[in-house]
Amino acid sequence: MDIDVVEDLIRLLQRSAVSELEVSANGLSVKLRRGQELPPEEDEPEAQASDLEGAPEPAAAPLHRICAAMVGIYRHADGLAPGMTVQPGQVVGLIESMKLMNELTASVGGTVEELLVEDGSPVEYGQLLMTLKEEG
Amino acid sequence: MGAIKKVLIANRGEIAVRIIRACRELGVASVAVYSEADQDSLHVQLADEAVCVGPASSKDSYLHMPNIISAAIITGADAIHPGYGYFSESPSFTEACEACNLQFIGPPASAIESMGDKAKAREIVEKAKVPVIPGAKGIITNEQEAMRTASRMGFPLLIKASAGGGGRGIRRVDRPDDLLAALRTATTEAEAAFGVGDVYMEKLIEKARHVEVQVLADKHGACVHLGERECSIQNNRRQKMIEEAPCPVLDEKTRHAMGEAAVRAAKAVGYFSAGTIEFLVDSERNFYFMEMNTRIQVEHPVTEATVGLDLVKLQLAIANGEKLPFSQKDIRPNGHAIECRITAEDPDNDFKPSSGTISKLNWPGGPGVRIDSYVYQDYTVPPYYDPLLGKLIVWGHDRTEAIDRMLRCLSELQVEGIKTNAAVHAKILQHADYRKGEFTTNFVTNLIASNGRAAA
Repeated sequence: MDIDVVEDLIRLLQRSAVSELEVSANGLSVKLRRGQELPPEEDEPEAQASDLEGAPEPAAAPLHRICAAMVGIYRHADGLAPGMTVQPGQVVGLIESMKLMNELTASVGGTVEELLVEDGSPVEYGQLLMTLKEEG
Repeated sequence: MGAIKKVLIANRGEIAVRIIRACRELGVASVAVYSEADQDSLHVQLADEAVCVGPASSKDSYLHMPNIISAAIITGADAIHPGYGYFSESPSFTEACEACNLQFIGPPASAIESMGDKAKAREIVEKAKVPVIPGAKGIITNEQEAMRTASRMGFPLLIKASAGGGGRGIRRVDRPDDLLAALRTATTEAEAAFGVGDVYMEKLIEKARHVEVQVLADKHGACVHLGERECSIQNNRRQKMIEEAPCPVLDEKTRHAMGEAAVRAAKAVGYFSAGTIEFLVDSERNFYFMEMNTRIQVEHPVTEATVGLDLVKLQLAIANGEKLPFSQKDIRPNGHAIECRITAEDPDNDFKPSSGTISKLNWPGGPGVRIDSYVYQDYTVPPYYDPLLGKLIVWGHDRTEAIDRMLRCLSELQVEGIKTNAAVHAKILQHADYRKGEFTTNFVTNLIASNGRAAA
């Protein structure tokens, strides 16, 4: 399922009276909900977007955000999956931009909480790619 | 390469909106790029797709070449329109587009390069029998020679940075004694500002008008001119404020000669797409080549209003390899058009940029009125970019009707929450000398200095 299909689904949902939509295709599924409030301000990646990696949250179990520092095609690091432990400085992904592979490294160590972008997807500047649960 | 199906617009503001509109009417998909400071901008909302390309600072977003090119690649765009400013006159960007199989909607890199080097451009057009301002041939390499040339052409004169343009990198020299010191300073300044220290000299044409000619050329060698634009109404920073077509003082013979000269200049660099040749016109109606802008210009709508063509759509057609669908004899400018650039600048505070939220906005309307803008009510104008909010363009059967229509529009225009220069426009348009067509590039500077009394 590519990004265009998801966009079409969002538009379809916006025009309809349906409040929730779940679609599965080619082993992937998306769940869309209408009229939902945007996540609260502190979850927005933009505050940290000028850095390759976001600043840790002041919460008890700090969640560390890794955002795209450039526009390109995102690639997971081999074998990266939620629950895996990463070390500070470890390469966690690549962004292919103008035929150059740019490494994405974790500035802190922790456990991969969530991978938010599919391998091979186009990403824009500042887009949230993954979250790490910081060690500590 | 097939016909363009999807265009990435490597720009922001009103020109991005203008290009998206042309694409939509042509059935061509559009991709906007935006910085984090521009996420609420109108071009982002109007385009079919939008890609964030960086933080607020232009050099990290709109001028970040890898992000712009990547945005085109990941969205499957097959062409890039650069608008004006940013990458519009960058040969390396044009080459990067070609290397990535993206059609650059504009002239060939070689023409941008030739015209971008002001000393080289001067040499090229002079060979094509286009009148140039009396001055030294090419860049200055020798101080003794510079001294001799300067005394031959007389003072005052201007030292100009070869890589400059748009009013930047210019020094005035009034006396022979000041020449050598000024040359050295200009070289150092040019090196610091543009990375190239090359400078050249030109006689200063006083009491001049700025008149430019719009040209349009296809990839098959056809080139036409679309008449001139009078752009002498400029602020004290040499930025244009009001443009009109036609120029109120040109006679048919001069107009014709300027048009032909503009076409020769364009052909001399193998030009295609839309371009503008800027001339200085002195009080005896002598005209001199100043520079060529190898892009679409802010003031293109006044030409569109008088010739009835859509220059942006024609740029796409030319990029597609189509032939110009008309010849010179088909171009018959009609009536009179005026454009006022409405900027977020405070006239009561030395024209300082004014950013903030537009709490109330009412654009004028009615017959013969066009608005090209990117702002809307409740929009917050970011402080990082050009202060141009929008352009008010009117058409009238003659100049008087156009001026009166523009004044009517300015009286309808309401912008609250931020300061604009609208009141200054009204002051200019009401001025007796402006209405008579008697003004030079110093009009606004004099008007401000005299607090509205005498200006020409």
